[in-house]
Amino acid sequence: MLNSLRKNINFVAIFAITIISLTVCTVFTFSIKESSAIVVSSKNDILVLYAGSLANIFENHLKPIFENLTNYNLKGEGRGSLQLSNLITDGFRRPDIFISADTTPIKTLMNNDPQLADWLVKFASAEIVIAYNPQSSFASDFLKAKNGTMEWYKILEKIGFKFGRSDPKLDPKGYYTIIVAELANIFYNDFTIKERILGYDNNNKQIFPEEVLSSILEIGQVDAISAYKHEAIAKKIPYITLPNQINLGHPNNTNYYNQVTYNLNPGQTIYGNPIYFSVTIPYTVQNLEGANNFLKFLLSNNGKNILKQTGLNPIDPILQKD
Amino acid sequence: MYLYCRNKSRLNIVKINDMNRLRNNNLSPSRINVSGFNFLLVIIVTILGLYITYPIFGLIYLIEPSNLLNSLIRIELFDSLLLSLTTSTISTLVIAIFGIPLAYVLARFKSKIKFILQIIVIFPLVLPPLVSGTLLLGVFGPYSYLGRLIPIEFTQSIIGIIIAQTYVASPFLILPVQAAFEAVPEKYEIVARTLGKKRGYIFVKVLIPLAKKGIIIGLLMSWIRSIGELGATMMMSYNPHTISIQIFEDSAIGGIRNSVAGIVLVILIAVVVLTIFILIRKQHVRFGW
Amino acid sequence: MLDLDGNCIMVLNIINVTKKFDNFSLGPINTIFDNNITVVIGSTGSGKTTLINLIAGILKPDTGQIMIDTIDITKQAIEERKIGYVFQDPLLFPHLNVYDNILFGLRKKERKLKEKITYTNKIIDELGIHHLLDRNINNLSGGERQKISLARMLVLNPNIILLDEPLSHIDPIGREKLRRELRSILKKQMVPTIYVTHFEEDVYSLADSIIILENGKIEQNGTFEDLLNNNMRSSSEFTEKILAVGNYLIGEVIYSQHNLTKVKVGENILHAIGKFSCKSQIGMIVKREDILLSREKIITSARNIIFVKIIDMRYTLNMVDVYLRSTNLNLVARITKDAAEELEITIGEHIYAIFKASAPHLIRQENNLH
Repeated sequence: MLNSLRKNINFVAIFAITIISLTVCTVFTFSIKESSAIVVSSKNDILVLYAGSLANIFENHLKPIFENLTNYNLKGEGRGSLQLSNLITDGFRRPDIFISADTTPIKTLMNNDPQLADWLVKFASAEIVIAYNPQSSFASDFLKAKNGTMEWYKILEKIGFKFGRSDPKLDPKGYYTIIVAELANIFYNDFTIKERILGYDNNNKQIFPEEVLSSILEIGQVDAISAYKHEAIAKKIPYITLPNQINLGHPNNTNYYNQVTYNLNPGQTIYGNPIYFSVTIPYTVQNLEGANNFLKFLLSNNGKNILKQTGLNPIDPILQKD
Repeated sequence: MYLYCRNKSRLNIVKINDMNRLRNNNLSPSRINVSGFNFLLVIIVTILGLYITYPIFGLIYLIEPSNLLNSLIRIELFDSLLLSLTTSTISTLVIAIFGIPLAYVLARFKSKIKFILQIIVIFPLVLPPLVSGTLLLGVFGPYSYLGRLIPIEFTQSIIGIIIAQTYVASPFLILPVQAAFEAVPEKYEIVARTLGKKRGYIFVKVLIPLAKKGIIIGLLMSWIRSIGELGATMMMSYNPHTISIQIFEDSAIGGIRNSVAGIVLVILIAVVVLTIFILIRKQHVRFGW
Repeated sequence: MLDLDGNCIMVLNIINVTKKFDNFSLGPINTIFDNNITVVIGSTGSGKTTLINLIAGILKPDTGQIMIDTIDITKQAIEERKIGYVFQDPLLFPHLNVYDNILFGLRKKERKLKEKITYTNKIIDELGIHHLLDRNINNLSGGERQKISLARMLVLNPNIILLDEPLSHIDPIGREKLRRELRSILKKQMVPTIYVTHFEEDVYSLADSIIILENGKIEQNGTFEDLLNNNMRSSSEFTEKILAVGNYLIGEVIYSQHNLTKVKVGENILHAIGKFSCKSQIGMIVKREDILLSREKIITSARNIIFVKIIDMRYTLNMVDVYLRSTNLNLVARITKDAAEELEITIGEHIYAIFKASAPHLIRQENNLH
């Protein structure tokens, strides 16, 4: 017996290490908070589905501060807002809180059969900017655009310029970019601009998953992306702002924004509107008390300060029920 | 003339010198062709070796050494790493308990069922993980039949992670183990039976020891595949974060540089697995594994 | 079952057994094996391995029964039959050392029993493999491996012993060594032993009785003498070779030194090569082709010169089998037709039969079984 043990010392060592580490792992895992949802959702968990662009704000700011203040565990998943509403209507996710980068995804839940939500609160506004890679060959052009000596769309039109944006079918930012371009046509009175900077709506040379946009900008696969101002600030990416009439960030330009429409899918046409980040507690809520707590936090002064610091523009909450 | 080959020993340099010497001796063409073939092999192997190792060295550009230590000591990184290690181990054990007997059936029982069974076993390998995840979500999700019948949280939980990993990684264990069993001549089992032993005893005491290497390789493969699982896990159980999902989220939050710490951790795990793999290979070769 | 002397013997009964494959069919086989060594020979594809695989349970017969004493084992699984099987390839378990290989068949409790340990050691000593016990199975010779395979099987006291060409994978020297020891080892077990081979020497050294299998049927079944005295021609060249060896003589060793042995057969003293103990009975096989005929008693290097009378001549295509007799000694010589014509030999004449000392193949005799 000892003989065979000695012969197989390698295997014995590996086996022992595996067992020990498994024990250690199990002990550790069961002592950390996330492990609670093995059998039944713990009373301490709050599942938040949020628009992908809020990743940094949520994970690095809202979540740790909220968890510090309260006893709750926030579990967040960030994706394109339309994608998230699809997951909810498919029954694949049952969030306690749904934060969307536009009212449209939540409205989809409200109009769904069966209905999955009946109210939303617009809590912050955002504007579209063009974020660029300071090491791109077009960086000097962007600097010119920043101090006003060059028009931004002229840069995007240039041959060899690579632009990145998200999928308008999955992410509001995707269709916002298209709306912005259409508004640019009107604003600059040049109806070729959109085609020259975007190509066609679903141009797959420009479309990337929302989550990877900033990464591919960083490594230089694209020269610029369309982004929310708060995103660019959060990720410390240089950006140029667009005129208020087209950047969808100013509610007093609502009428101007309304000039443009976009066909989300057959039968659903939406108007250009200021971007309102909205939140709801859908019918799928499992932890109502926790959801209410988080909502209160988000809309509180504490929450507003956090949003402001991270570049989002908090507004007085507007409740909408249709 | 020297050829620097990263992964090869001096043997290659000697071969090329030999080639020159042969040419100088005016040997018959067939001799030179053999050396030429060796040369070609060396080139191909070097290219492939570089292709695989180069991106790892490219990581150096992304690492900011001063920041690295700080970014490594993030609690969520370690939590997710621990979670990945644990769930992968559990998944591998689950796969082993069911998969090893299944591999035995596939290796030893020849019948029409075997064909269908073989396809079923390979199936998760062929599906893109995202598709697997969606399918699993469909039958384990909160509104599915099972989800409503059984009061267990199959999705967005550790069980969800294990379900996703088990589904995707099972071929990685079953196929090598099947090959290992098939490599053991059936004659040994017949001999054991003439010595009075029953089939079950033979399976445990003869077949498994002789297929030991293949079994361990299968365990390693499915384990490391579970660690690397992203697509199916993302659908079934985004929370709690496995290390792969954590890396994914890190890059969504702060770009590639933010995810470097997680990447480094995973590479360290890969190195550990590789070391074990090499140790096993060094053991006395029995049936050509 | 008890034999005539009251000893307990095992009987293996094969009744009407058939087995059909795509291009070959075996049977119907009807035969009884008793506590002896039966050598089964036949050309390749004659069904030898199929037959013992049926007895072992590795194959199930299409029809018929296999019985040990009164127990029908036809439907039993391999592991339920208490048979021992030595394969051509020793198939020692690579993951166990030699000693563990030998003990493999014993159950855990059995390994601790004193009787079992004693018995195991006895077998190990008998086979002379004591020095190999803790060795890895890899660096052993073919002969050593086969001995371990034998030991592994013998410690279990099987009711039937089957051997499928066990000496085939051994080098010629090792083969000869093992062959000499094999008979005594197998006889000690006193169970039906069936030995499949294609080596003639195995027949000479080991057989109590012989079965010749051809095309899936038993062609001949009996002792060596029965087969030789039975002048039936077989349909295959192979068995022809065995049968037509021709001359089988029994005598007593009167001298044996420096590898030269003198044997008294009848009134004649014959010379042969080999080392045997004096006073022992010995069998000599002399091939028909090895015997020369001469009209004169010439001086040659051949040591064996016998004065014989020609009692019969039988012609084949181009050879003649000449039947000769001396006192208590019968021989058959095979010469070409041309030679027969040249010598003008006729029945009734006297002539000299000559063969070298190296011609006879010697077989040790056991006391009462031939």
